[in-house]
Amino acid sequence: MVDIPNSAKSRLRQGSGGTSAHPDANLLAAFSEQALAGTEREQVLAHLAQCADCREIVALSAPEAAPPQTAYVPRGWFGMRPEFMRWAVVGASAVVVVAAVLLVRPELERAPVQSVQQARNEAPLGPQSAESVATEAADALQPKKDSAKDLVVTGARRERQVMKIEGANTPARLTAGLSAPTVAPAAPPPPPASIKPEEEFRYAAAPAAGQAAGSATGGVSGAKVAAEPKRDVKVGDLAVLDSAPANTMAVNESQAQPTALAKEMDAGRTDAFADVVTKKNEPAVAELKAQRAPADTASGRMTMRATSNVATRTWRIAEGKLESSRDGGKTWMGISLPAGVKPLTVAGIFPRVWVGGDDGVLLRSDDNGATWTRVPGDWQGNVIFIKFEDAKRGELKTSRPGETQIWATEDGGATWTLRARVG
Amino acid sequence: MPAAANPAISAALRDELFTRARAADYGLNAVQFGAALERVAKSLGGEAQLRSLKVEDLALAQGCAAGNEHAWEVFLTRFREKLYDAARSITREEASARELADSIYGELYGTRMEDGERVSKLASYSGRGSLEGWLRTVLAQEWVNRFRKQKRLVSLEEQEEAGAQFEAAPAAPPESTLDPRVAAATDRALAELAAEDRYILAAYYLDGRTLADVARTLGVHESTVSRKVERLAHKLRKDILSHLTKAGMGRRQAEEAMEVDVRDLAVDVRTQLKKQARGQGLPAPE
Repeated sequence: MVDIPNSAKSRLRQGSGGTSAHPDANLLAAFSEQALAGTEREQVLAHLAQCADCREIVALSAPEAAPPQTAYVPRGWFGMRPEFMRWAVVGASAVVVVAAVLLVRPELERAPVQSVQQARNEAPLGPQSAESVATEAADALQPKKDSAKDLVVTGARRERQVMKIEGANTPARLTAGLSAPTVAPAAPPPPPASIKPEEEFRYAAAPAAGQAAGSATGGVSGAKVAAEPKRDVKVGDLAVLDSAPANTMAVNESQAQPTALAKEMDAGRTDAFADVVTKKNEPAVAELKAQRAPADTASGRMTMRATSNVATRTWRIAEGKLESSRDGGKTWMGISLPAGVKPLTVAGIFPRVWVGGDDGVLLRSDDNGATWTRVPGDWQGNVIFIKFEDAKRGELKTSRPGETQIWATEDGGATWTLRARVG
Repeated sequence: MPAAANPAISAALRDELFTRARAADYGLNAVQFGAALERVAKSLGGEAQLRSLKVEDLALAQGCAAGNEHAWEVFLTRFREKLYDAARSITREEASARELADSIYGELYGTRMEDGERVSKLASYSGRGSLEGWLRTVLAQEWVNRFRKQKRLVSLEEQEEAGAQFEAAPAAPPESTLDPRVAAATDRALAELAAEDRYILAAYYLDGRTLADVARTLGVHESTVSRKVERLAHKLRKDILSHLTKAGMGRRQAEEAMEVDVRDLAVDVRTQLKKQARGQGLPAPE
């Protein structure tokens, strides 16, 4: 390419006639999208010709060009003309499908025997013998007349779910055979029904301070608001749940083994924006700095580790407020609670977070604090301590002048039973 | 809705755009949306171009600025990943991209307070271009204005701590030493070019952008820009030469004067001192 004279470069660099006011983001964006015309476009171009910074902004904000798509046109392949090529491809595909069908049918017929044999050949899985595993697999292989709708394929591999074969004539069998040995996991069970027998009071977190009251939108009116879509529990999440410590007292951060999800979070998949918006904590973004905060086990503060299918969450009560961390305690964000609730204790056990407060308040959240459900109970006093051994078994302690009560649950907090009364 | 609430635009147009934008989904009424349209109309000098606005994006941005939950849900769904992707394409580095995107989020949501009310940057979006393009531009502005300058400062501090010694910054190229006749002829030749031509030359020759980059910003094919650059380079050279010869300069002299790099005119004190020392039989300075 021919170069321009150095004098031209010099004068272009210097800019002739001074630099006009920088166009705002609206103008520059409109320019980049060819939404400007006439005089306005000329004015922006004149400024860009003089202003290196604005030129860079335009260059940086331009969308990346899509990679060029080159269409492959077979010509004269093996001497065939393109129109014949097309039919040849169709014919070849038909041959492949037929061959696959013929191969699959014998495979499926042999499947039960093979699977049992496979089970026998599996390494011992602990206390259960290989024979019993094979028996279990063989039993599972018997097609159930009232089988579930979901397609599953039997396998004796214990690290996957044990599933059952559909009826003999369903197309799903063919599909399963074609895709063997892949396993189609069963659909996750529906979320548990609402807690019985207590009546639920659902309400959203209170608006954060500073949010304009009486705004045209009405703000948060007290109706249930789901700031984040609920995520169904998937097989992978359950696997993580099984392996992760259910309720870890993070006394020393360095002792906690990061779960797979924590590693994913550490790889940079945090989501500051959703937290800012959904938790309505304006300073949260500005405060997201990677400062390692020591775990605080002083009286009244506990750090519990709860897993979510996005990132590991750590919870604490600090200075009378509920806080959550997505980065193992490096940074903390305030979590809004319903108005009037004074939190005293917190426990996180995926996928739930429990908060105990004064005057017998017990709150439960299934979406990392976006919405809260109050769980009524017969305990008296402030809920000063709560913990869960696993998803089902938990314990809470209440206190009032002259008496401490200990309540326990065996069903994930659906019902609570008084275990002890002291005082 | 009363037309008097939005006197700058006709009620019919306001209501038409309000419906098209589905602004009610984001908690806005026609008067509120009309106020946003009025602001844009003022910058456009009238309501004639309002129909060309991206009114759906405008309604979404206004709803977010007003704190509407549904608007934020939609915004998050549509733009959360795009914002991070855009930041990555700007910074070319994951850590900086996250820092850049996070710094924008607070402004978009409105961490700044004015008169007790949250001020969201989204309120300034006008709908002239797409909301996605506006977000990319805001990111790029933030990067150019703040982060790059900070990085330069941080880099200097880190190097100082490491014990690096810095020379005094070299003097700026003495642009003013360009022959006045050459400067005038060059300015005249550049002024005769269209603004777009000057932009193309600046982007290609000064910024080092590729033909494809320049073409993308102008919305034309790369080959169009290539032909244009070639043509402009020849034309510029010919025009400057013509002006210089008309000003009385000889052709050869004019050609040489055009190619003088003013940065070469900077006085090299060390070399001058060495020459003087050798001439006087003195040891050359270190």
